[in-house]
Amino acid sequence: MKRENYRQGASDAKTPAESGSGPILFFWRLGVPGALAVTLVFGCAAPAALAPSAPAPLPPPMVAAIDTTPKERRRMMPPEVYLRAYLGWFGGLAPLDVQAKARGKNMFDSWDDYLAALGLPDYKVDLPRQSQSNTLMIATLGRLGEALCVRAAEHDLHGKTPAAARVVFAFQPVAAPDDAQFAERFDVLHRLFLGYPVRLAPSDRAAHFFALYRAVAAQHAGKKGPLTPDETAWAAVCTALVQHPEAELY
Amino acid sequence: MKRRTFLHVLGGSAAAVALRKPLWAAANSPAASDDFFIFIHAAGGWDVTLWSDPRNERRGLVEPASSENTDTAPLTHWKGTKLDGDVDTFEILAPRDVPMRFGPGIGALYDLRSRLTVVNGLAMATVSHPDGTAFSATGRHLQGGRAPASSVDVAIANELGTSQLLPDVAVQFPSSYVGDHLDRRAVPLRVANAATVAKSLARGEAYFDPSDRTAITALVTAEAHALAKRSTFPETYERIASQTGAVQQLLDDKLEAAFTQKALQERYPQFDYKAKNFGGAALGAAFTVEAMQRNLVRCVGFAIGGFDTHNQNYKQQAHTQQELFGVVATLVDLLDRTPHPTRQGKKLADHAHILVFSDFCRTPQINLSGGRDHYPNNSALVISPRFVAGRTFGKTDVEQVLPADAGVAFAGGARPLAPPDLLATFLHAFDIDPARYLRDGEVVQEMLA
Amino acid sequence: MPRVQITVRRSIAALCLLALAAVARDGAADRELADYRYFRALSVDLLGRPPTAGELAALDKPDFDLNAWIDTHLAGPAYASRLASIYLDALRLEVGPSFQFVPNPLVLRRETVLGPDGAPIYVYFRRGQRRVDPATDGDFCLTHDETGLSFPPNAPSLGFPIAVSQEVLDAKTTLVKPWWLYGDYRAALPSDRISKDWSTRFPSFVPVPQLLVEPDGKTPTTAVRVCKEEAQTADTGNVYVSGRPAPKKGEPPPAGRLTQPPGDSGFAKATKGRAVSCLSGTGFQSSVQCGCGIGLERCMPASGPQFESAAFQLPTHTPLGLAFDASPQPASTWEKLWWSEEAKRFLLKIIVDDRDFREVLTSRATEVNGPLAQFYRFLAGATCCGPAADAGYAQPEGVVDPGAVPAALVPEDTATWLPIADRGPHAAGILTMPIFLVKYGSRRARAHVLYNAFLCKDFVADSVKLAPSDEPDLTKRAGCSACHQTLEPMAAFFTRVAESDWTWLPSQLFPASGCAKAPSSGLCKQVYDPAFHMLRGAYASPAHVEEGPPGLAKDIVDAPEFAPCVVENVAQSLLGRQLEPEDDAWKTQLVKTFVDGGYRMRTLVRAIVTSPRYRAGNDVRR
Repeated sequence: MKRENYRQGASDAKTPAESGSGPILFFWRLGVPGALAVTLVFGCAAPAALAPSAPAPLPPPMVAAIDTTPKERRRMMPPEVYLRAYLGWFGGLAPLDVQAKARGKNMFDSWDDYLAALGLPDYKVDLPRQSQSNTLMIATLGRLGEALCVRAAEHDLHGKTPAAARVVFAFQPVAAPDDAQFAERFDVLHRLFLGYPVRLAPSDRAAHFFALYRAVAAQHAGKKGPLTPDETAWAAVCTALVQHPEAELY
Repeated sequence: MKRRTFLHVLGGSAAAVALRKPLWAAANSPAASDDFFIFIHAAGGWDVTLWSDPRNERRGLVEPASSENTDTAPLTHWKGTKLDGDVDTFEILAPRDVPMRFGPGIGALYDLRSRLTVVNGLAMATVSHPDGTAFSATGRHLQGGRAPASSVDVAIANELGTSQLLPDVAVQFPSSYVGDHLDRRAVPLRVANAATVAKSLARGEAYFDPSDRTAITALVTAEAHALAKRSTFPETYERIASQTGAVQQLLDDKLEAAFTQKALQERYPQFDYKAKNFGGAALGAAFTVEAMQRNLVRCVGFAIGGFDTHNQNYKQQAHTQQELFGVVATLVDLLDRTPHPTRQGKKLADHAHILVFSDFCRTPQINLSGGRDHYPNNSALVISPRFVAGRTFGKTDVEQVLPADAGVAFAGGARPLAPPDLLATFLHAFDIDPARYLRDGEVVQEMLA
Repeated sequence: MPRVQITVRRSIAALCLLALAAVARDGAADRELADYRYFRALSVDLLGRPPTAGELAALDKPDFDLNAWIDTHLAGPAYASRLASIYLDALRLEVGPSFQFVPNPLVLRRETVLGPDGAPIYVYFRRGQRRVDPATDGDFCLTHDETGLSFPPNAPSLGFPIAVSQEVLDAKTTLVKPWWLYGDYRAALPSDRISKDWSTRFPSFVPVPQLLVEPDGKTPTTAVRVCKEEAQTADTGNVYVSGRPAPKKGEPPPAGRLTQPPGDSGFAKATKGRAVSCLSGTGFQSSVQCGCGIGLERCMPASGPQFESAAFQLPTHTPLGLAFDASPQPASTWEKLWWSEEAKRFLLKIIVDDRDFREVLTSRATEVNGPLAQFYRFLAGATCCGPAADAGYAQPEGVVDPGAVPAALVPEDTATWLPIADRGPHAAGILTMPIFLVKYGSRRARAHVLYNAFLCKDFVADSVKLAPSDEPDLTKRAGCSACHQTLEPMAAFFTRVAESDWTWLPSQLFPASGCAKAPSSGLCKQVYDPAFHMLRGAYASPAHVEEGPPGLAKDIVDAPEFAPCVVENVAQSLLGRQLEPEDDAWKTQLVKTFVDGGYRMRTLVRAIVTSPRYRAGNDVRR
């Protein structure tokens, strides 16, 4: 208590130093263990001979905790990679041809409208590459994804293109598929856009996408549109996969 | 378990917890704000002797703007006064109602002088475009070619903007988002021009119904959340989930129609969309007002170029400044007249704050090509109800236009102002702790109202 | 490596072995999610796209050899593009509209006048072209009296047009089959006129429609009418002195002109009658005999009288090297596009061919196509020589020897790229490419960006107080010396390369110290620095002046920071994160791999993409 008061410098009690007690001061400065040790040394009789004491173990070295947490992060797909993949999914067309093909029914504007939003750098004005997604980028990916998927559905499914000529929907569609039929076809899209078979995905993924399929097909049942309800549903599944986080990251 | 392994695991868990906390802390932050922020980058480095720190005498290094090196015809505030022989320079604008001095480049903002806070003599310590830009926007010089700190708009968006659908929109503005401790919603939306926002939000009607899109978005968002749960570092997926949700909300509100180029030009015809240098910026300004009055954004930044006048193009520098400040004046006028979206009876101007800066300024001397080169001094402009208006802070020396002691009681003693000080003051004005975002800089209380 | 991570990785390895064992039983590989994720990452980084269904099917097979797959794809253009983007992001080798390349010698403007039959016709001319007639010297070759029009600089004509007589047209203009219309424009009778198949032969070469038809908008242009002086083809002319006195202040221009005719420069008076190169700006300014050459190949077309009238349909964005848009652009944009492509192609080639990466800075080779060949042979000298002419410098010397440029390439041949093995003694990788020299116009800017990009170092002046000072030596001046002590000597390597330009100042005419002319002359004030009586930029290191950019290239690649910087840039890009202190040992190992491998990227990238750190970036736990 007295020591604390001394440290704080806010005590009326005199310290041993102030009270002038030399020996008490000495012991006080040693602290209790030290005082005890000195007492033992001076207070006990010395042995006849000094025996070597067993070597005490060395104290353990200081272990500083190093942050060894993994530094890796899922990386955002570079926009060039996305664009190259996109052109490939459109059948390997040149960008201006894709633009022409994707347009119509307000599905696409022009590449110029999207490139900066996708995160491409612009060296002319020293705009750096974007390495993180943002809302507008997600919106742009959504727009481009819809255009890709509906055009692919028109070409692959509605156009009854031979299987060998299909890029996206490389399977034979069936009307109102059951779970197994859907899963088999979903696996084709899953591999294309996410890069691995659906059997390795979380176990409920196929079911969730099948629910989307059924909901969209039901929504469009009986309606006239450029695509049949099943084709629209596949286009919706495709759109969801193109916008999936695992498609945007690697 | 061995001690070392334990420490490693403990470190990992602690880091994971520490990383999680800021994200959710920001999301749950009680610090709501309904203020709006506009950041304008005058790209290229402006000549401050033409607007904020006017010089019309040959003294020391200073060769003032004159009829010999400046195209004076389009300048509304150029009143000629003899410089030398038949060469004229400009009369400095020294209004009586405010203790400020302006050059002719101030343009239409001269009429709003009682609302301006000018900061002169900002010590830049750089004459590199990207470095000066980064220093002005973040308070730090580039390291390894990269900004080591987030820019002021990101800081504001992180603190005050995460509840908005579009917390921070950067129309060619030099935003930087740095670090793992920021809310991912504050990632700036970078676009080449304001009309791109509408293009990205546009959706065709022929194939999918709105309910289809809602279902797709819900699925994608659920997938993102599910992946987050399984991940050691969930923030990447949580970020995507929140961004996907924000897109859906933007689509539901059918906002794309309001942000097309045509819609913006029709709604805000006051701006000159055909101006050579500023057509894009005018669209950015129109977007700003529209997005604010719809309460979609917290920060909007845009850039205006044409100031890097090394050659004979220096003749246009004053006119370019006049155009820039004309855009700002029109913007302020619109903010004065536009109702605040959430504060009844208030206008946007009551809760809007504008910061205009450039990379650095230009040499006081004219170079051999008839232009001015880069110079490590700078000025900035603030228009904000939270700043002391009708005042100029900071100063430069008379003969070389270099930053001089600002007369501010800095902790380290007398020195000039620097961008970190301005940014620290700006953040402090909105109750944001500058130390969270700025390594350097001190708050200059005298600037604050 | 921390023990926890070692344990985890060993577990994964064990699982992989189990999986492979299962394969041996069943005949199909039972790949784990980590395998697919890894393969996808490799595909993204080495192929530039996610894997196709076929590639995933190949991965599924038990005999799929991933190492061989990696080695195959460490050679493709997408891998090179991925790596090149690291340095292109750092160097940003493109310039926008803020840099204008519109020297008068190059820009063929176009006016519309009425022909003898009263129908409008186009006439091409160069502003500043020397002509003997004082009524048209430096201006359009037809006068107000002849056309009814006045022709203000960079603006549409004014007045009420009258038909120009055939006699005047024949006397003052001529018809030429220009290079932008004829692929065989050098032939005696050019016949290979632009047609649909040019889109295959010469992709990206798309003149705007206004250049291809007459003023009626329909009649295809088969020849262009150009002022006679512009149609001259000689490589040299004689210096012309008009003898006209300088106009008095306020004196109106003669002969109804809007501007005064050009005066006689000091250079012209001093060298009257002497031969001068028509490939230089000085020749253009000084001789009435200098024209645009055969087929107007020394000039670029424009569709109007302004200096940036539209000439070509060009993309503004070319990610992947493909055009994502196209709009009418002036000829200067055409030049800037190809300058940029030269640097990109150069960088890509070093990576694809797995050459020593140091050649990015040191190599004297390059590749050029038609537009670049035209630039180096005919256009590069147009910015020379300004006040340097006072030193007798009128034959421009560039950083590329025009004699090394393939002569067979026609300007519209965008598709054929031919190598130049040796650009000349001044060449040094990208340091002496036009795009680099204009993007980083000042000597200091050039040195600065190289310091950043190739040594991973910065000039950071934290908290310096810059007091007013008359000290011109920035290596000594308080507040500046901290950075400029290093920056100035580096910048000195570029002393002999003109700023925002590529013109070389040869040592015979421009000694590093001492200006031969009067101190008040343009030479001594603009080319030399009066404060130091040395070439501008030289004061901090005269030795570096003579070494030139090749000297800087050597210094950089020999610096101990070079290899670690390359490793850091590449590793960070592929990992998608900054390297941390615990990566130091790995980084050191990579540096050794890189250096021992002859500074070749393939070895380095292979080491990175096969490392556990790279694989762990796709760990399913994340």
